Amino acid sequence: MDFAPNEQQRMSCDAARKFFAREFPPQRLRQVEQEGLAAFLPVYRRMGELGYLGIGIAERDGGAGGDWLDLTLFAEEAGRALLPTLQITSVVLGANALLVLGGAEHRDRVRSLAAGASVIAPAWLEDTDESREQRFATRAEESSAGVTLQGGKRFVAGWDVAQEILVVARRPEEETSWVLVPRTVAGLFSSALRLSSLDTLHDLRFDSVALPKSAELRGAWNTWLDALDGAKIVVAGWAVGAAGAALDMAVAYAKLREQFGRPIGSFQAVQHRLADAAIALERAVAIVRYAAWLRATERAGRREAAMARLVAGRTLRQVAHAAMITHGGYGFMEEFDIQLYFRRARLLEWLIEGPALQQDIIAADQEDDGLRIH
Amino acid sequence: MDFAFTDSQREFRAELREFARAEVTPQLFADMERSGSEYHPEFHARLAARGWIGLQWPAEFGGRELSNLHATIFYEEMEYAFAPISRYRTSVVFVGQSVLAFGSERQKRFFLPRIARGELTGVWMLTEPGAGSDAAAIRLRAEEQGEEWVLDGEKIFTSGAQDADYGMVAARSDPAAPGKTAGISLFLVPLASPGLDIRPIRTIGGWSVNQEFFDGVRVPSWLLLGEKHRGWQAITRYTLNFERAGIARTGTLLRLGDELARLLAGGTSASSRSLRQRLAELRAEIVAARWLGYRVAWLYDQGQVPAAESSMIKVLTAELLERLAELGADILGWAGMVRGREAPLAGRVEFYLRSIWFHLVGGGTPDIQRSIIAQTGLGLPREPAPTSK
Repeated sequence: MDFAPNEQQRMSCDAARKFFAREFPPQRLRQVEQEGLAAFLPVYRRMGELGYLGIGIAERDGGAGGDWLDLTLFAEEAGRALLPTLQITSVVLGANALLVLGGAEHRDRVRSLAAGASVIAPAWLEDTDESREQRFATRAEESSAGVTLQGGKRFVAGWDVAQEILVVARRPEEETSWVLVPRTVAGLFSSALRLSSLDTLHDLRFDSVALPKSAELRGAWNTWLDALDGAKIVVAGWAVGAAGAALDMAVAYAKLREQFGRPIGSFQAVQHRLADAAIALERAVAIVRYAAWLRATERAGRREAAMARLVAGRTLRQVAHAAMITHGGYGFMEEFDIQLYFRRARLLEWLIEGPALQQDIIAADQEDDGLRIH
Repeated sequence: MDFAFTDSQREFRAELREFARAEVTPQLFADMERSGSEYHPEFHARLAARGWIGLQWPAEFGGRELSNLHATIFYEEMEYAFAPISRYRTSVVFVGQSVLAFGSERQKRFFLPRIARGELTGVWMLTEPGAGSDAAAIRLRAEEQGEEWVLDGEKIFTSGAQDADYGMVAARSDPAAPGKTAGISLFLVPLASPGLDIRPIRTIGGWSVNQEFFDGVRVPSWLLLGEKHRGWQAITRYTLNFERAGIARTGTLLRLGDELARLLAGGTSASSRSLRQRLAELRAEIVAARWLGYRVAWLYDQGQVPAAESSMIKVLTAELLERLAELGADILGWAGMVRGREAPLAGRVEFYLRSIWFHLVGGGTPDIQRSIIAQTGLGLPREPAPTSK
């Protein structure tokens, strides 16, 4: 067992941290909040050139190599900088799903996604409770020309800058298929939803959208679930990175800010709240890296991915809240950076899959030996 | 970064599990209930016969030269079986590890092999009636008289002193030293010493703790542990961290989680789904705590003594145990309040809730742990000392 990052991991995390400090300081984030994801694309493309977007995808498949642990450690740095999560939806979920569902014929697509030259927006949520059951209202029906899509998807991330969407739909024979839909196709309607983070999601409606047969990908439902498991671990990395930065800010502020003639960080009430945040963070980092390592070494880890995702999301919310309270009235001034973390905490708790579903996944685990190791 | 267990660690785990299956019997618990002690001498002797006491120690002192990770695996497997190992802990983690870290050669040769063979057990005597969370406010006096030290004063809340062999005692050896953390020394005191009166204090948690009265207790000089007058520095650098990191409880947490999951299995009502979800969330936190615990053990294996992380693992696992037992009580309803081995889960939910104070307070209250984490981990400023009026 070795809890220290190796030389390579240390160097690439260090480089990523410097890159984000230079290319994505808080004023850049504020610009993206104002102008939308398009303002982020120059940084995103640069990340593609540097090979950041392709971490975790083999070079022969158009990626940059590295394993899931490398990717998760990188995600911690991205989360520290509150980087928009486009990489998670477009590459970590989108490109990886294309690889397992579509295989070799989609390599060029994957290469382009991993280079940041194009963006795909996976669309799988509908107006029902989150679940891992295949119960979609969106239908993919065979037609003379190919396939016709009917229905709608909700809360789609990355649509505003995507060239394509990947729609999860139901076939008449009750199987699932994945349909690649170009954004310019007739019969596709979108409406924007602005979140408290100021990210924009979209609801999409498909009104007899006609697509060629080649747009439809078929695969086992479990391969999609596995892709979700992988993406979840990366969001969890993002979340603990953000939590680490929020805690650092709160600690720095508590040392600086004086009331009653002394730094507020010398008061026990403040110390204990931040100590709780530190405990939550250390514990979350431990399980997130463990879950990433399980995936990197191809050990079974659906339960651990759910645990990591759940704990990391909860932790970010707790830490961000503690950091806000530490800042008092200044915490909710727009001018202060800590509010940027607070406004993203719930997004990073829910992205890909939310907490109640993680609880169900963990509870469904049939193994009854808690001591088991991989 | 690599989270794989070595073959040696896997084999060790399997060996421990086999042992626990065979040796942790209902008879063991019946014996302890009858004796009113959480120490089971025969079981302790069986651990010694396997060579499992002092796993991390050098072979020349009777140890096995294994890693702290091995020790963590040992605790996990034993706790998972609910094996009685609290005296093992006080002997190995508090007394033994302290002797190894800052004891003299003669002390190492005397104490460690005897502890490893199961012939000698020890307890840790720090707290006094007036020195609880303010642990350095020690008043028990140690005076040097020729080749001996003479100890006078009181200690309180000592688990196991009634039937252990030695107590590791913190005493004020130089009352003139400036500041309360200066002038403290540690002594390894035979508990059968004349002038030492040990009286039980009954607790609501089943086992008794003790109060000790030292009235001119004479301790030979060679039993001074560590540097004279610099005991506090040794305690805070080593012993207290060993203590906090050594009571990790993740085995107990994992076992109770499994037991509660079995209780909830198959229920289809809305309330059983909601209870399963609460349990799932706790189990996620428990696995996270388990990996934080491994990290702490690994840091010790790297030669570090991580103070903040040791406090984290202590407060985290104690509070998780309470939350898990609370959930168990919600699941069991009235049956969760019933005492005794006839109750569901052998009465463990009721027992842990009633005795949770051992876990929360023992080794330092959660409040004190949080102050340590904030000050040594996060570097927040200490509270200014009160100004005298």
